Amino acid sequence: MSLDPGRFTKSFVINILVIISISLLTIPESITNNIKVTIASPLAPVQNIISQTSNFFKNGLRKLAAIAKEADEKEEMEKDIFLLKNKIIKQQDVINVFKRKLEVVTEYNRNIDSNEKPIIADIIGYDVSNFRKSIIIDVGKKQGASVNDVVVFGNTLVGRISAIGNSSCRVMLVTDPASNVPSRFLKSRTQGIVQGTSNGVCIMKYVSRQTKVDESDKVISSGIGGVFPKSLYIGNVVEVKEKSASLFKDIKIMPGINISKIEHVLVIKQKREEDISE
Amino acid sequence: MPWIIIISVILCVSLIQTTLLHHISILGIQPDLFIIFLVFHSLNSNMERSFHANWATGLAKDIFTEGFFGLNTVLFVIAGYLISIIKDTLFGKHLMTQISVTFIISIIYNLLYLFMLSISLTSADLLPMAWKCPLIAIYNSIIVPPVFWLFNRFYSSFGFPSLKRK
Repeated sequence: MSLDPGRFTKSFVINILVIISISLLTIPESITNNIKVTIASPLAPVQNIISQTSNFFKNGLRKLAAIAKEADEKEEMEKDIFLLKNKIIKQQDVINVFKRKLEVVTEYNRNIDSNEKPIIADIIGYDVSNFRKSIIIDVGKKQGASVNDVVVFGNTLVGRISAIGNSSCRVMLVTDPASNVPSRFLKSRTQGIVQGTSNGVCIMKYVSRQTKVDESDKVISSGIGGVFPKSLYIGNVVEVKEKSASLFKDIKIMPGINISKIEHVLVIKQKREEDISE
Repeated sequence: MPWIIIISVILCVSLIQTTLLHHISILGIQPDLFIIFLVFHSLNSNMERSFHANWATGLAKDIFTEGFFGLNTVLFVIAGYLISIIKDTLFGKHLMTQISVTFIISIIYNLLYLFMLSISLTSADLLPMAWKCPLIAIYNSIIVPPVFWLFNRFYSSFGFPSLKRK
């Protein structure tokens, strides 16, 4: 029988370790704790560094996740804010439009002595020709309007309805060359006819050269003819000329309304014959 | 199918003209997309088709303007016919040709329109308004390149066959 030294050493070590293990189980807890702490204490700084680093990265990741989440939330909030702002703007716009409409109706009621309720209409289109001046409004037969009804803005004459459909109509403006409005000067009460020129301005015809007319004189409708009610403001005189051979003065009138700057108008329903007979 | 496209374009032109173009008016003058469409069609399609298209365009203009119904229809057909007569002698694809034809046709159309208006509205002294005609023509000519480009893009996207010249 021969003894292998290497194999002996291995079995010896194993046996020793088993014995140590069993003996450790028998050591009181207080002693083992001290042993543990004593052995672990030199590693504490390293552990600290590692744990801090890991915590740093962990927190960083958490923060990143939180930031990403917050960014999403912020984006959603921004969207909400944007939508709310838009709603506010839209509501402000609606309020402004209603305010203006109310002002227009109030102004009209203040100036015109009529029991007829005007119809508020929005401008939805303009004339496509450069030589004609008309607008399309969203009021038609359904709303009770009819051809030749007068269209105003506040107390200012805009034109009259020239063609009508069920829910829209065409308004011939006072600046249209086919428009003729019996009118008079506010101060001197001299009468004439205001005619459009398709040029943005009107001319007042048939005012004799003896009549004194000042620039900035106001012109109103005279009510003669029955189509246009009296006392509607038309515009101001901007130029007065006298041609040597002419019987009448050349008077240019700037209309009181710039049609491209308004969004709505009032339609004044004309008194029908049947209404008058009643 | 081509007719649906033409009618759609005319509708679009009408809507743009009635709602948007007054925002870019200068001295009360706005560009006339109907005229530009007329020139575009007359230069790019055969006489028969351009006649129908010009008729429909004129009718659309009549619908959206104050005054006599049919006046624009007639004038558009005349203007389209004038272009059809001379178009074979022109290189219609060249930008300068398109601009020049638009300018000349705008002047002729507006003068004719003004003349007819003066006859019908005798009380209105409209002939002094003739100074507007060259200005309208210039404005129309200026916007020809982008509008022709848009029309071309629109038509080519639908593979419109008749726009290739013979």
